[in-house]
Amino acid sequence: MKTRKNFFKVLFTFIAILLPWIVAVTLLDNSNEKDYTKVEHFAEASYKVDTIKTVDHSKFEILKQKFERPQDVTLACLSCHNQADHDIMMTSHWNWSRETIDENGDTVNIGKKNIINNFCMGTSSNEPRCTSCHIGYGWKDDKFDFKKSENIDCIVCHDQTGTYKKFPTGAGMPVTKKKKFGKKTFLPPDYNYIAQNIGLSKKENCGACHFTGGGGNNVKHGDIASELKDITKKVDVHMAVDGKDMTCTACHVTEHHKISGQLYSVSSQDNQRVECSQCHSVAPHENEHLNLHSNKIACQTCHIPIYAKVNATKMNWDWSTAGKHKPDGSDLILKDSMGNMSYHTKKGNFIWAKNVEPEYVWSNGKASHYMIGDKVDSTQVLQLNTLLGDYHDPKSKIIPVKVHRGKQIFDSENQNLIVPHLFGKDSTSYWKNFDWDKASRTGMESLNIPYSGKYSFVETEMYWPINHMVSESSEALSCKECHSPNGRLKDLDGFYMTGRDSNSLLDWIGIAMIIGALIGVSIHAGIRIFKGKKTEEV
Amino acid sequence: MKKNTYIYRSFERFWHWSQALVIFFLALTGFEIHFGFELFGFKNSIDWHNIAGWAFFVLIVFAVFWHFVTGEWKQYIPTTKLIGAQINYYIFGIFKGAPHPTHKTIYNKFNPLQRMIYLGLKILVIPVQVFTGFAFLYYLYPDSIWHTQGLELTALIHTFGAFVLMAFVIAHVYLTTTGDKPTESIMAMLTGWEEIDVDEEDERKEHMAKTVEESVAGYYRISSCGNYLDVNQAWLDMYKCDDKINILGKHYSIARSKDDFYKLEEFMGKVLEGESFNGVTTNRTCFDGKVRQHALSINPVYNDEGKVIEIEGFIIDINM
Repeated sequence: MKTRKNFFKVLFTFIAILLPWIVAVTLLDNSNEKDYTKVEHFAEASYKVDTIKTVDHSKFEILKQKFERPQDVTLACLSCHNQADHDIMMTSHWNWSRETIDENGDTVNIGKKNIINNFCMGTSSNEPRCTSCHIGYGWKDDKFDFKKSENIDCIVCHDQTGTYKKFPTGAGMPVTKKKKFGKKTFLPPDYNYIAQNIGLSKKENCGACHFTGGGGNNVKHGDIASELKDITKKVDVHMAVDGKDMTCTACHVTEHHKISGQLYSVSSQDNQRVECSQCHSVAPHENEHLNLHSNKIACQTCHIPIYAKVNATKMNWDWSTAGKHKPDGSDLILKDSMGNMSYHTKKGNFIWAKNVEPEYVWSNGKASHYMIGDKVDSTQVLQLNTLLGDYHDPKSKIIPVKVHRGKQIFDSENQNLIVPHLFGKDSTSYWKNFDWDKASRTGMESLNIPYSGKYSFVETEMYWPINHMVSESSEALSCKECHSPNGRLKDLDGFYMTGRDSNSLLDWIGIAMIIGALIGVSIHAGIRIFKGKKTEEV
Repeated sequence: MKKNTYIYRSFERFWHWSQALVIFFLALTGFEIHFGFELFGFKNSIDWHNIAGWAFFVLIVFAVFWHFVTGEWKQYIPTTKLIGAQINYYIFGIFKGAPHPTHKTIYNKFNPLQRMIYLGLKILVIPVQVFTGFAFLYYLYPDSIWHTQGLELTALIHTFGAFVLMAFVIAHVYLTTTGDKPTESIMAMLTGWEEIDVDEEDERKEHMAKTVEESVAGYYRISSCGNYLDVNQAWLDMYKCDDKINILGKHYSIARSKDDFYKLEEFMGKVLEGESFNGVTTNRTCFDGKVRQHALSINPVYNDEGKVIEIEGFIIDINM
């Protein structure tokens, strides 16, 4: 009777203790479940596209004229949009350069004009090829007039017909008569048709240059490629055609032709950034603990688990092996298993990768750059752009990056990188003559920097923050992809991270303590039982 | 002497078992986070660990309050007295079947080792765990007062505290089996009742009072002027009186014949001067009107100053 009464008492006690916990945990657990759907609603509601056109350009007389040159289209545009040229001339899209305050507090101009990358290295002396992606007409050498309004190419950003193409080696000019470039044929544009169908920039307009930077689709960025024109939510949740089909400027908000956003391949300053929080707020998760992460982790880190999801991107470019020909003297071209070019006589060896996991670095929004003329320590891998920041900097966050590694030419006596003269049909261009010495001399002369005549190759790295190809929330990184000893952040040191770090000595002491306690009580209990039996026998 | 005693009150038991549950849950989730094994899932473990941490904190606030308002905190005042004997008992005595060197009473629930260990938990280990736990939770806010330059020290202390608590739990659970019966202590913590030593003086006092109350001999107490102050049930039965109200405050002459009254007055006078008598026989007029006979004892009751203020004694019925 008494045991039964006790049993119920014990049972009741346990129910009384357990029940509130079970109820609380169940309730809290349910609230966690709602989490993502809510964010989805929020994001969907906040983006609407205004599709009503306020102007029909086909009604304007001035656009019905017979255009001889593309510059005449520009002049026609400016006859109404009479401040647009002023706006354009202030932008980095026009100047390929930005005013930047360096670490000494001095104002310097940084841009494609005076920094070096590890793709085709530099623009100087190679302008006609590079400037096919300039929003102007005729930047073929250092004599280009940046003050002349008619040099602005309005069409490349505003064409809605998809028929306008600049010629790849034309210094930004379209062709005047039918011309072939490799397998592609370029036709003279129908300026009347284009001008009368002008409009706001679409993905295709931005993509005309940004998808193919570095000389081919997805070569440079890894997360910005021509497939963004037509992809599903699996690839990019924002630009997906089965989703909101957002344009570039939906996020890269533009005012007076000044487009927000910049990439640290060429930029240094922490300003006019595009933030996810523009739409998603700074605390978009229902789970407070996830929101707390945004103090130290950029959204992209978890929400872009992989990049180059459709086509491969270039991960490595080794210029030092360039110049090998086939026995018959023609260009040697090799392809990898994915069909991407792995060797070209003109360019050396490439390594491509698809579905790439980013590397991760601290970034406080600022970067330093190797500037033309800076000294090189050839015993080390040279970072052409260094993303600044560390754990202890309150402005720093962990961001995903594509690191493009390469081997490129430098002056081994003067200890500085070389911008070689690659492009041109002259007697010194590398792609014509395959002579690094001549190409280096011409390239460096164009920059007015001495060249010793001795050259070698140095390993370099370039850091490309990954911001596009945002996955659906269900695809975001799980906790343990970082919070484990061999997780994605295993190489990011200088701070303690739960689940990744531990003090092995302390762990061993702790485990020893627990095992010690277990062994101790076992021995103690053993002796008690043994002695107890003995006493009973006596 | 041992007696089944209500030793752990309901809040104490609720607090103890809730704390046990919370610490166990915190350990499971915490070690999943730390060692990375799969149990609840990392995210759940993080979220639940944080919730349980808050629950633990609330529980502690209530427990601290309880300890102070009930005065139970005094149970944890450390003492070195018998600590050596207690250690000696666990190392040697227990194996020989020696008696426990200290005795559990309601005012001294813990042996000297328990006092020391529990106090250590209460003022050192648990506060450190709570403090580092909150630092862990809120260090991220750059403008937070908890903001620390990194988590390393916080994490290491918190982890170490967890190991200490686990080692404690193992020893604690084992030591519950060292009572007279292996399950005795656990059952006590569940039901609140335990066979424990009682204070013999207290026990005697309580028992004697009960003896008088329940005796078949009648008991009476009369004031110096002869009015009934108290009687027991047996007295009422002998006098055929239904209720104490009918007799208390009344003069004892009410139940006496004239002769008996004078006889008793004589004894009364002597008792008030300090004498005691036994085996005095007298008649009584019961409430039903019948006269019956009994023997009685009479003795004086002194106040603090040694002055006789009342008389009392027992009566035994001698009617055949």
